Amino acid sequence: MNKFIILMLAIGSQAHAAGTLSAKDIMTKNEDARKVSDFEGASRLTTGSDTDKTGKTKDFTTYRKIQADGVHNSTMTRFHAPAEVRDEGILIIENPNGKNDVLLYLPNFKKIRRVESTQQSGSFMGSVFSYSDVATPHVEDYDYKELRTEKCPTTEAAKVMCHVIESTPANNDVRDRTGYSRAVSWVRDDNSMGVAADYYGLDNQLLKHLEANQVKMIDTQNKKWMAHSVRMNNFKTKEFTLMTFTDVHANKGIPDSTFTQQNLQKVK
Amino acid sequence: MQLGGAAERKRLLFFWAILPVFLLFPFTPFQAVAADQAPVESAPFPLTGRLYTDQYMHVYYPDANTETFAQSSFTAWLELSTHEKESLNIHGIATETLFLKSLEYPETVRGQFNLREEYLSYANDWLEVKAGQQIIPWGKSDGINPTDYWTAKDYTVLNPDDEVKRTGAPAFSVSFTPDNGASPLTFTAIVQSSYAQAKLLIPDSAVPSVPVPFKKYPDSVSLFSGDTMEYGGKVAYLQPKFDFSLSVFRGYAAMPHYEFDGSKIFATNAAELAIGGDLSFTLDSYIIRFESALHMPDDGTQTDPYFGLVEPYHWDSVLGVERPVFTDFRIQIQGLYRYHLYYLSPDQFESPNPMTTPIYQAVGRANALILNYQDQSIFGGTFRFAYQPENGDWTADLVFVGYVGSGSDFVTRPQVSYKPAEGFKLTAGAEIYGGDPNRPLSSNKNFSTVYFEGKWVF
Repeated sequence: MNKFIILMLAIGSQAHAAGTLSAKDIMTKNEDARKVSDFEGASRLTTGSDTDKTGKTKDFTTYRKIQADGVHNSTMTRFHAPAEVRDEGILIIENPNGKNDVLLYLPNFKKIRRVESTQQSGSFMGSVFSYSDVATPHVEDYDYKELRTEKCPTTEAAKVMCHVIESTPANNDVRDRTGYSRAVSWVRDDNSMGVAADYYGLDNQLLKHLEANQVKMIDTQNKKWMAHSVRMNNFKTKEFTLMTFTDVHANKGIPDSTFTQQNLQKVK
Repeated sequence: MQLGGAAERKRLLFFWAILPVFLLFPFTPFQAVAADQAPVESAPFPLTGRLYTDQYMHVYYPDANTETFAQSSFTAWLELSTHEKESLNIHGIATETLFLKSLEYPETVRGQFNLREEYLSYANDWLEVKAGQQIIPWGKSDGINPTDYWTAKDYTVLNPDDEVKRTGAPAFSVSFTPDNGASPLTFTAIVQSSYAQAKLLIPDSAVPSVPVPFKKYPDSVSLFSGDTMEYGGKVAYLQPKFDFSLSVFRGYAAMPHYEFDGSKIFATNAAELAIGGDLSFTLDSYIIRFESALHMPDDGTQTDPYFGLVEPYHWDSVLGVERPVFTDFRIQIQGLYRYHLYYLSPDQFESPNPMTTPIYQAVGRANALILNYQDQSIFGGTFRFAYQPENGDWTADLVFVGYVGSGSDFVTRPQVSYKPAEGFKLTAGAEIYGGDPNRPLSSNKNFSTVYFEGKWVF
């Protein structure tokens, strides 16, 4: 009986793939839609909870550049406010093996500290986002399955159809780094941008929900998009973080030297 | 606990009167910022800083003269920085501290101004130049850094944050990174115009009990004098996955030692040559750090006339492992090892004039005590267990440092902090010295304290 069900599911899946894009194709288009050679923008994290709706804010500048392999990114964040974190910097270097390198600059000590791999599923600067949430997901890091198509669940994209894609880590390194057993994403059919996602913890319980809004084209020549407002809710801690971007500039020609330890400890 | 007299009671009264004002002040300008507001642009000359009060109370009362407060102080820490996007910047940090009580001057209410840093910097993608008063902390290991040649610490100023104890010195530093800043290699050269001098906690047991004048701390050195200049350099290879560096230094030991010139005992700093290096890397859940340096002070070999009276050549190493435990805890263990390449016990020193031999030996014993070279080989370790939730209001930290030689000694510091509001932090803890009597750490037993700090960062 079970073999029969599995066979029917496989046939159904193949029939679907023959007519439309596969789940992996959709996620490849998704990655391509947000891939710019580099960008710089003013950013803000606002973290609150059910009892603290206003939340606490952290302001920083984000620099991101795609690496020579054309897939993985290097990201530098430099914090400006509040005073407790002023001049702190975080450098995230994505790696093909799924193990990212994360380095943290602490101006009070004038020293750089490493963030070990398992800690990268931990909170990014006290927010609901983790270090691995801030790094970008890549197609090869996951296996995909399209669950269904339906109207997108966000107000901004309510009139657009979305592909609902389940992603599972392709290997244990990705699973350990992210701290997620799987994710279910809503990807717009029109511009391939993700608008929402549910993240499941290692216990397979729903842990976080992400909602992306203010999706704007930041590279009109190559038709690349970016969500300027991303909200993540943590169901376990009842906290939320809103990450917003303003004054975003793409393809500025940010030099490679921006994404080095030397620059991390150089508060210009 | 005992009160030390009418004067101290007045100071305590003043403290408790002013404390509520200090604690309430930070809340006045604090305003939550709405999430939909645009990030604030940096002011061209942002003035920032912190206000804090430190109250340290003695734990042990060896005699009736011991006062309750080891330190009672209020500090304004101001920083002026121009940075972001511009290449040429100025950076300055100055502190003004009102000491109602202090370890160095227990009976005097006084103000103390300290210019920690004030330098002009130029930076582009491949070059960074700094000129002026600077704090230059080298080394990868945590808390104990054999390659930390440049900056000294004032241990007589008590503070939960050891970095606050650092003192700056006038220096010129230049760092160069090839390949327009993209190379993992970086070369750094530094010239420091006068050597920084650490001010140590000097226990009574370290004061030589001989009938000659004794001066506890070194004289200030002249700026831009040829014989007080320090030079050094570092080559670092910095990759995301690992980094290591090699360094060399020719200058003066930051820690002073005592000398006897025939009529008085005085403190001075030994000239030394040092070479060292460090490395760090991550291995799954572990962060590994290693740091090592060979210090070669003048008069530090068996052919020198004062061999046995001053710190000999020594090799210092620290190997540390750190990892997270569960979600919010971290554990760190470091092994410490010091080996003296040449060694002579101060008690074996013979002066050409036998009458002065006991004085020289007493000076040598004092140096061995305060600089921790009572044995040829010394093993030690540090242990740190911390509760650090990323967005929690409470944090806790337990630090333990211990050494084992011909005896053993330790210092431990449990500490708890609470953040009642953004930028505001209350800290309470204790710093306890113990172990075999007459060992370097345990000799500081009477400096054991419990403390409280209130801090507002703005």
